[in-house]
Amino acid sequence: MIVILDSPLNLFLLFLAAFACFLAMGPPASYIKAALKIMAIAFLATMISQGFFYYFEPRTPLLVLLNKDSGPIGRFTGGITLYKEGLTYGMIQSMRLFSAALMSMVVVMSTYPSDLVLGLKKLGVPEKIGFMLTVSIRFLPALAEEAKRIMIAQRLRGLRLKGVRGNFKGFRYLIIPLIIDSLRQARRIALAAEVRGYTGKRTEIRGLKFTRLDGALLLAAIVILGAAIKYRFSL
Amino acid sequence: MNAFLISIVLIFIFGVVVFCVGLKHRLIHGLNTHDLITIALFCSLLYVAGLPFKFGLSRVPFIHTFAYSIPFTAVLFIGIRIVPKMGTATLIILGHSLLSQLISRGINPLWWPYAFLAGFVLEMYFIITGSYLETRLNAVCAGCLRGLVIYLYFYLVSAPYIWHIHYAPWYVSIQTLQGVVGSGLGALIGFALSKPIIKAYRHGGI
Repeated sequence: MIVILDSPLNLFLLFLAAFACFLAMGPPASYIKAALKIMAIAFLATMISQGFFYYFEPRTPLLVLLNKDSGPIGRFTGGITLYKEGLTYGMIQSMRLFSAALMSMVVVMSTYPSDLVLGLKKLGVPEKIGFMLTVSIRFLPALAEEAKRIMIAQRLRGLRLKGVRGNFKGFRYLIIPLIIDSLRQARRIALAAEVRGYTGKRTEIRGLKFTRLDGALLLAAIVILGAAIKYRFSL
Repeated sequence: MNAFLISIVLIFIFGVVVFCVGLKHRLIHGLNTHDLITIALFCSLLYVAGLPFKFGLSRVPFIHTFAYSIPFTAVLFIGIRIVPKMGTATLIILGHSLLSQLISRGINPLWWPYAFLAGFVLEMYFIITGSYLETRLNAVCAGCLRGLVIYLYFYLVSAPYIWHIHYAPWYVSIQTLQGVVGSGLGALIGFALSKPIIKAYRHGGI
């Protein structure tokens, strides 16, 4: 659908549908606010960048920022011009991106990561990568917690970091104790896995099955896709 | 066949070549459970280390490539120095890519070739130089190579064919240059930071 539809209005309607699905998942207000803010920035950035970088023909110049004959920068860039068709193209592409991103977020919000890993394994992703992903997901909250603990301890000892240089210094001060502590934990997990006889293969309590609901959803998706293709080519 | 499909075929062939050369030089040793868990840890660390930059410095327009490539390369290279085996780089990069897709973006196989290329380039570099970031120069060259290949592939192949977003050649060259410099700097930082970590890892009773 995202690829097939190409008019700004249809893509906007698709975006609204994706956004409604996202809202139906009941995300917290702060999450919605952050998503809207990021989308607004990305929308403007994509429109402006594609307005300047658009290279398909025909294109109508709206504003010439830099002439190609004006000095070394002009020669290097070949001139910087804002094109009308580029702005429209940027709008269309950002609607496509947002629709895809929102639908991906719906999948991520409505499915446990372990179920997604299980799905990947069913698709043929090797067992070892599946195991690695499971361990990575398990590590994430522990790492965030550990990073927070280290930063609080450093602040209690009087460390105050601000600005760009502070950002880099903070990274340096955080990463060494964080990695050393995590490596200790990694060794513990590896020992526990080996002691329990882990051989590279895992068994799951719950397997994935293709149910009637999956079949119905697949059928609905095929029907909607067919309708979209027919609509696109009947125009 | 469009450029994206051609790139997938080329990356696949490149991967096969890397595997065959590794096999010929007897560089392929299996990864044990401990290695796999350490690699998994670095996949998570890459995700966590990038977050402050993703929501902070990376938002500054025009220099986001430079800002993001520094922590990414630094953490990646620490991981490679801790598990200096063939396959580590590919597994960390691929694992990180899959992890971020699982957690925030949703699974999209179209981005997998990008991760594979990033890994294969480093694997080939390690085979050719015969060193897993053992010297500062080796690390900086590996970082710059990674930056060059990855950002060129992103701006010339991935973004135009997956997002349908195009960039002017001058913008691509400036961003790639930033990626090369940022990755080189990240490699230097990673090399310096990995020294105390490796010491603690080997002798400190971790």
